[in-house]
Amino acid sequence: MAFLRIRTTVDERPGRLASLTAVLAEWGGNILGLSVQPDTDGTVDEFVAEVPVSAEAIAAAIEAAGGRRVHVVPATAHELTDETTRALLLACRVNEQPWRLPEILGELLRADTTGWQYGDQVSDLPDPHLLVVPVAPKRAIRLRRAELPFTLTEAARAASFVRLAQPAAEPAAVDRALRLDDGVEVEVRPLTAGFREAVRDLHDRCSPESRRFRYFTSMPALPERVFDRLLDKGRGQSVVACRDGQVVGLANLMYCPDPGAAEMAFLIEDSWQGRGLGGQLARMLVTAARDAGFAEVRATLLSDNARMRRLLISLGATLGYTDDPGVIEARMPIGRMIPVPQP
Amino acid sequence: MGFLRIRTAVDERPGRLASLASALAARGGDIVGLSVQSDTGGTVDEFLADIPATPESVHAALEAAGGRQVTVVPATAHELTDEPTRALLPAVQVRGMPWTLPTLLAELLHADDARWPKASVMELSPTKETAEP
Repeated sequence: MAFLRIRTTVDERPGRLASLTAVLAEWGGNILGLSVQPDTDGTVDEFVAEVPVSAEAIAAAIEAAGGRRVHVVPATAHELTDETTRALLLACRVNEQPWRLPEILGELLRADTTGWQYGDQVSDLPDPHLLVVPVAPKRAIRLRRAELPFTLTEAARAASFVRLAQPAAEPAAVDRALRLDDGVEVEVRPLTAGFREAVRDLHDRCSPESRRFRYFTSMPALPERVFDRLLDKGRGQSVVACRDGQVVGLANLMYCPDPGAAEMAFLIEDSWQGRGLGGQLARMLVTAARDAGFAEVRATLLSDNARMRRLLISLGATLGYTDDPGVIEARMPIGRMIPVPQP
Repeated sequence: MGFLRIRTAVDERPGRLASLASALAARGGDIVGLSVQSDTGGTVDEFLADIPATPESVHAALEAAGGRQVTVVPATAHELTDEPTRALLPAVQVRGMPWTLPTLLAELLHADDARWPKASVMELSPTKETAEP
């Protein structure tokens, strides 16, 4: 009997996990742990299993069942501890010995080598076996793992782990003022039912093009049930930017049905566009997503929305095509972004 | 379509997860998270699934597939975040605000309510529904 760590990329569809578990069962494997990790091109399922056959035989069987990029590596009984408990115990060790952060992070991710990297981020060719975790603007931890590539989810775990060694953040202010590029200040508040009228007025004042960029159709008003959905804390988080009693911007972070992903969107009143409001709201949403434990923030935009495209690229997003030629999808892995400095 | 958090006690033997997973797949369920947890009475499998069926029918299907002590509760999309990442975030927050420990611990364990116990109301025999560190 051998313990194996088995990883495979799968398409997100009902039944895919059932077919993989059936393959392992057929070979007499007993699954002791599983984590489902979103990654750049699909979902990665990682099993720890006790299997009475060779690693090669299992890899071939999983490929035959539709698994892509199958990796099978030996595991030890020590790895069977609950991953969450293990992460918290390592977090305690960082509190006691913060100078050992690279080593302890290496243990969390089971990396082969780990160490500090100083200076500006050099943009290496993308290498999934190398993970650079930003700790401060000119300091990062560089991890390498030969056997298994790092997933986006592992990058997000690493990003939340290194925050243990960063100065404690101020309790997030519920209401805060943002100063725009031209010095004007706006108030940012969480969206509540009391803003229903003001949000309707915002839609009335926006040009059809601004509404089309937000909703992909220039519908004149926001339907009531869509507004209600934006208020639902189980589906996401929304904020409004206010000035002189009016709402001039609406920003939403909605949780996706894919594990670990959230989608952001905003509507800025025409006369407030191009003044840095969208960029500041986007950074707030990305921070909120990071604080909520997400691995990735996505955005979909019309391909002729040049301003939004520039904004997303400045945040480090990768743009990709979708099935619809007029629609672009932007993806921002949270674990690979440098923490946003607290104002 | 709804997200459900599904928990069932199982016997530790090859194939038990496969039979539960195929019972969920037969209902059109997409399993988006799973943890295998040791408990006093054996192993507990906890699934997070996006499933177009009622909690009652899921409950019945899992019992038919060999699950014991099945519980099915609604979940939200926010619960789809990676569990170790989700656990590390309160660990970061508690350093700045140690007095929020009960609230953060409640968040970690999806508890309904958390507070420091008063000596006079301390329960002598802990039940499954209360846990004390």
